[in-house]
Amino acid sequence: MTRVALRNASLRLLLAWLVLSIGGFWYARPIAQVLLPYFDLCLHVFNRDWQPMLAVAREHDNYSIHLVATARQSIPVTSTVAVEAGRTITTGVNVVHVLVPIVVFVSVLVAWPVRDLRARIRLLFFALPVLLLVVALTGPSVLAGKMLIPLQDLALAAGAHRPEPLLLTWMLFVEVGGSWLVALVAAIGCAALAQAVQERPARRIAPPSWDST
Amino acid sequence: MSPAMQQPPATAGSRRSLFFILGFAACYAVFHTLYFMIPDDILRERVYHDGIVAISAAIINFIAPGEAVTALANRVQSTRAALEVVRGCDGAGMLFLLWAAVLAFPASLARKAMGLVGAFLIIYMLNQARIVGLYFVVAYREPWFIPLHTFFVPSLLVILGSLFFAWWAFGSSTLSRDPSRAA
Repeated sequence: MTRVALRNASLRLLLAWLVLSIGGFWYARPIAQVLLPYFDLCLHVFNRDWQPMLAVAREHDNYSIHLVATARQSIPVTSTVAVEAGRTITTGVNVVHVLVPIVVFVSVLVAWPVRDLRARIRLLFFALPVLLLVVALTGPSVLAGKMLIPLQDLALAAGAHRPEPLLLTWMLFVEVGGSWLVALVAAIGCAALAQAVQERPARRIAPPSWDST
Repeated sequence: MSPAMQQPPATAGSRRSLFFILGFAACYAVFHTLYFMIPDDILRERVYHDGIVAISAAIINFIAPGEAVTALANRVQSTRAALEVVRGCDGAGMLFLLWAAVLAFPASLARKAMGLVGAFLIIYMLNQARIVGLYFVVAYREPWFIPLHTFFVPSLLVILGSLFFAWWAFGSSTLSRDPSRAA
């Protein structure tokens, strides 16, 4: 890569961030509405003990994805304490906060230096399924992890130790900076995959052999 | 010719990318694990107070002496606003990203050391600027706090960190191709 190409990529990165950030902030509500069914699907996969109900709520000037989860059956918290079936847990996450890894992922891909427009389209084609994975690993997993905090508190109040569930550990990881790692790794992986496909040696098809042995 | 040299460039490039991604994620995970082994009170009373909050308060008082800001444990506070620095709001996540990327990238030890120090300095300065800026936002434009704190500033920091890394990696690659430029 040349210095000029890197300078152009740097400018594209800043510009992409600016456009996506303003767009994400401005259209937070419709974006959240589009994301809701996917969040719902992810929450069903992450935590089958709870029935999620999601809505976009407005708090002052900000929108949040509001989750009310209802226990499908009695859920043991410790050996003596359990959450009864039908009990609900309420939590939420700020919509724009959910958009951070998406903005980072798309900005990096838009800025990534490629040979031509066809390569850019190929890169964005690879990006679509990966973007779904990035979203699943960040927004819905944060909600799923937050849901488990009251259960930990319940165990603590009962004087019992409850091992930290994997979803809660993941939520803490994502919230401290892991969501940025997920976005960057996904973007670099996408770019590497697209480049590998572009530069793979053309497969040579051997002519049929008519010799009989 | 060695077997490695017989590989098509695309395969070698893909393998380099894969090693970088794995190294990047692994280094980050190690830093994150070590970070969570530090007790909260040590972070709050020592690291955040001496390293972040006291300096932020001094900067705010220098910029706007009328604010009369004080640093109390992990809080920057005045009669107008109070801002608390907690785990995750200290720039550590961004620093770990940059350190992990620098360590995972193939470069000389001297260049890596330069990258690690540079990453620390740039993230530290950006984070101080972030905290000072957020103080004034809380004090004078409170409704802006959530979008700035949870969206615009973190994403901008990641983008700026990525630019730092890209230019550092570019410099490292140029040096490895042309060592005469090292001086």
